[in-house]
Amino acid sequence: MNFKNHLPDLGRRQFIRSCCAAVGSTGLLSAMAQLRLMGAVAGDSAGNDYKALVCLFLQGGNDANNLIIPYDTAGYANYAAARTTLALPRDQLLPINPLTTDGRSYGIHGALGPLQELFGSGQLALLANVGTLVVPTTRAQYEARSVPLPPQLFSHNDQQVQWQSSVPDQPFSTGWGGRLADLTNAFNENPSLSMSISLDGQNSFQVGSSVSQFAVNRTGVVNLTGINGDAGQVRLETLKSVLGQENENLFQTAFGGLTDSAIDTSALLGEALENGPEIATVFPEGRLGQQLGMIARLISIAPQFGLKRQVFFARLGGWDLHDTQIDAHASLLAEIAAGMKSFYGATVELGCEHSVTTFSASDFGRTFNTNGDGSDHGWGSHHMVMGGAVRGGDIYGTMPVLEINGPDDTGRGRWIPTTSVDEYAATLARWFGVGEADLPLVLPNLGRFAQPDLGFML
Amino acid sequence: MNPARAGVVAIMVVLVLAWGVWRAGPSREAPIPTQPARNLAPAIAHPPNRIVAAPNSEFIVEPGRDPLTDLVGEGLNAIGGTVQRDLSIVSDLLDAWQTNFPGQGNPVGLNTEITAALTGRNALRLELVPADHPAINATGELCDRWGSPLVFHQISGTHMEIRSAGPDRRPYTDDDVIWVPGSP
Repeated sequence: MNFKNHLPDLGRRQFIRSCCAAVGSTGLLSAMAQLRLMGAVAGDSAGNDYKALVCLFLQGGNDANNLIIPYDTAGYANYAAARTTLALPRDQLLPINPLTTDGRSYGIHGALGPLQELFGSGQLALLANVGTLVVPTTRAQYEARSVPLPPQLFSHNDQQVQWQSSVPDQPFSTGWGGRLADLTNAFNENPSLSMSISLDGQNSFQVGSSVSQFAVNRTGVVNLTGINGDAGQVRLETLKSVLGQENENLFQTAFGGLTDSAIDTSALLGEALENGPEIATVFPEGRLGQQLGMIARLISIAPQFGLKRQVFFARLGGWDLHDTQIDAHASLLAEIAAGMKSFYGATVELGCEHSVTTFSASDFGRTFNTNGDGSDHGWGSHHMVMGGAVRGGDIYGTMPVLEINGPDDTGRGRWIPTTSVDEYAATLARWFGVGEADLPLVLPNLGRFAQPDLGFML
Repeated sequence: MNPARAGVVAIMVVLVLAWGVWRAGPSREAPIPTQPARNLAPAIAHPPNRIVAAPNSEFIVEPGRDPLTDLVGEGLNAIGGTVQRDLSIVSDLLDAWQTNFPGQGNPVGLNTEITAALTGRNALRLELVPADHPAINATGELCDRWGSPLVFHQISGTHMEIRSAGPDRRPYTDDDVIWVPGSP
């Protein structure tokens, strides 16, 4: 057999051309979608509205079994019997009255007083049992391994990345926040600042193909040291001169360009923050309150940078509570509640509460039963969405049957998600301005799931 | 034949020969030798006034009957062994797993799921631990030498922290012994 008839003899240049064509076709689809969005902006004044999406990542795996708790007598009794040392006293729960009911009543953790208020006034929605899925999965399918499961379920790093990419069945390349930014950057008018800003360093969520994430810290921009005064200015100019040099190595050139740009942007942003409007809302001290406070300040100066779409990333660690959970979890939830309430207040003060949506994410939920004094890695978990554009005051999705070895359990109360991250993210992406036809560009696996719009956004 | 094509042909020949040697080698059922044991996080000394429980004889391996001896050096939970060595062996088992299932990471889930995977519930039906090993309890959990199920903390797909509850048989107490992956 003459293999040449079957295997084309690709020369090196031809091979590179083929690869470029393949990559280019993906880019082309994205570019076409961006053109559509630009058309939408031109033709629809609503497209000119400012919108910001804030991802609040609870790193380590939040025990959401103590976020939403059965409150009716029978439900609470089952909960208390299963959770034993992790069960919260019923009289310390905060009852909630969702707009729709599944026949049961629920309360939330006693540390979430500020969020109970927002839930009651309709600015906060709860999402039940969300998690990473490759395809919809039942307990029988899980046990028989008859459908693909997200690789490395129950592993911190893998599940963090999968939550942030929403493509669990592929090696990581981009995050869904990054893909969202790539697509919706068309809304921004010659932005002089990246629309993707992280308040807590690098993350997978904001990794995009064309939009780079820009990191600031809780107190403002990350500045170079030693550049003050005349000598400092000489140092800075020398550094920029070195960074600006053309290199034979493309990576070196790209690194130089990116670093040079980051230095300029930091200076610009620092000045804008200094001269930006004062925000009277008081944010709580602590890691999260300060991150959210800085996001509010960045939102307040967005018009100066031509930004009509922004994606933010904030993160709070410490949720991996295998031990001494009760007190530590209450403290973390109190920090979240106070920070979120202040942040919502700041958006009201800025007059943009309908344009800013904050949503929670986490590695996974945790086991329903205890290991003694804590809980271990689970799967599906409950989440929160907050903002003026949220159809709040309700629980969306389906609560799992809170029963060890029940229909939703994979062992010890690790709930099989009843809503996928894809569906959760798609609902947010749609609100952000992505049309139905373009949703697969942000969430490639969305078509495998039933509800591309969970209905929690106006 | 031009030099580039000759090079490709040479590489193909080497690959075919290597495949042949691999096929003629030991059965895939035999696990690949594991890496040398890595260091343990220092064990926390028992408080002097604590009553230290004796190892649970049910989970202790008598000399001469440990099926793991040939696989990972010393026997898991062997008489005369140490909990540190036991954890090192379990870590070696996970290394062997990764070698046999490249790119798939460690087995994950509850102790029962990880033990099931190590005892043959896997795509190759590879038994890195015999299902009747004394270290496995009646509910299918891999236990330490005091009979407590080991706690597997999945940090990433390839990094697994392994915890023995220690003599007090309660995890997350001062006498726990922890294997920290990748520690120097």
